[in-house]
Amino acid sequence: MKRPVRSLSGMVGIAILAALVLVAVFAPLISPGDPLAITARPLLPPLADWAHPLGTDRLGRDLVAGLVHGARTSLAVGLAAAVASLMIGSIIGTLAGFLGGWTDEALMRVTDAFQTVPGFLLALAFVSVAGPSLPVIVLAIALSAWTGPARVARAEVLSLRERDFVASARVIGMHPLEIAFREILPNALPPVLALSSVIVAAAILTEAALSFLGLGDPNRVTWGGMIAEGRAVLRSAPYLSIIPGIALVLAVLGVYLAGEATVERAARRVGHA
Amino acid sequence: MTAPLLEGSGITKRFKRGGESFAAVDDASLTLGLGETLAVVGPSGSGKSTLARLVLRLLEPDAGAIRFEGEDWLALSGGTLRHKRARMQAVFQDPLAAFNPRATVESAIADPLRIHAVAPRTQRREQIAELLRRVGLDPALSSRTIHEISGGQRQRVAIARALASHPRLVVLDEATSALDVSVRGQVLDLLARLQAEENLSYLFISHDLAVVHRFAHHVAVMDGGRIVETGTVDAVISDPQSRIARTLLAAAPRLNRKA
Repeated sequence: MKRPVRSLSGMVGIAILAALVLVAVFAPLISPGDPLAITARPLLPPLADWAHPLGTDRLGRDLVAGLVHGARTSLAVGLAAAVASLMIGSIIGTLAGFLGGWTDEALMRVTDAFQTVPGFLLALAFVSVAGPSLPVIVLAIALSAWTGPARVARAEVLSLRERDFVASARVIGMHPLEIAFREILPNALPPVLALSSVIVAAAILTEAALSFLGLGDPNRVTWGGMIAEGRAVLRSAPYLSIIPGIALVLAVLGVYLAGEATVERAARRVGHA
Repeated sequence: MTAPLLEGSGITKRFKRGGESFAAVDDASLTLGLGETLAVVGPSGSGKSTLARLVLRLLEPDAGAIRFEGEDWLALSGGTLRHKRARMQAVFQDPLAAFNPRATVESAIADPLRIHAVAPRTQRREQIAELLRRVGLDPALSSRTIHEISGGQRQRVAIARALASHPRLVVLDEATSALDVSVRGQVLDLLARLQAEENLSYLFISHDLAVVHRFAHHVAVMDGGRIVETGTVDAVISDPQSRIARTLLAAAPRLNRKA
């Protein structure tokens, strides 16, 4: 009964995500030139001039150019931060679960420590100290997001390491590190990867929030930065904040729905096998 | 007579269950000569699989000594232990669980060849084909994944993987129990043939006295973690001394009639 509805939401998600990826990839073609360049008179309202369909901001920068190039930053940061946190998380989780004993204790207490500090605060502190550049922002977001994957990976590894195939690998004299990362980790990954859509969505939001507070990469257009920019003229030109806000909502929704649909399809396939 | 291949004495392993400790294996001693099969029989929970895992050093005993090929087997660790593991291999009960779910027939057999550098990389493919032929499988199977082949074929692949590093001793932990009867007979025949060809020794863990009778030379009967009776297969089956041996015998009707 629910299946068609679910696959509809999945389709919507995938459509949004695909559109977003296309826009991000072809940004230089859709809107050539520097998106930060002043191209028209300031505060041009949307639909007034077809050269600038969504209008311009306080300095006369084109809103379409900002949105298109902002999609690049959002997706790049979201994906990179998710990949980084999944990698850090699964390596630490695998080591903790596989080695056990005091290593497990130590790694899990570190994980606890990171989980106790609010993620956004951690990212904020990290960026303010290390300076706002894209790699730092990615790392800052990963720093607050790796604990989830680490816990899931550890739990999965704990159950996998008792299985006979691990005993069999030990019997043939395989090195413990090879057992951990070649035998166990690939089998522990599916539930960890299921977290990725949530992490990408959260990373996009965190990046936007950092940019909103002025801690984004100053050389790049970001949606968060655009929203912040529009705040000063919120009464007279609300579209400057609303339009990038809508883009942000769509991006997060698209990533989340597409991710859910993928996970669900993978789960159904396993169920059928 | 030369020293036995495997010699264990006073092997003890204690586990904690609900706060109190109990001995899963209690003061067990065993001897296994070259080219021989020693069966360890007992009801479930008697500690026979734990004993197998102790011998394989998948578990560390709390007390006791194990000598393997004249060396103190328990003194080995790290790289030396991994290197020496080539000489003692195992085949487990559930052939599906004993392989990495992502493994193919080829990768499963290639692992020990690579780890113990049995053959140069260029000859590995031929070696795998040769091992598959020796266990009665078509080398064309090598590209299949483990879950694509039948249970009997899987167990043959497990045997090929165990043989790859040229072991002297193979621990068969209920290796035929999960197979259906006709396949079980074929796999036992294969194991017997390999033993004759290579002078292999088997430590054969089983609960099935009928299979043991056909396959083993010596028997150790376990109950509650202790070895309660040892002897040649014929002696134990024709004249069981312990209560548990008589119970196991009664559960194997064909032997019972004969006895």
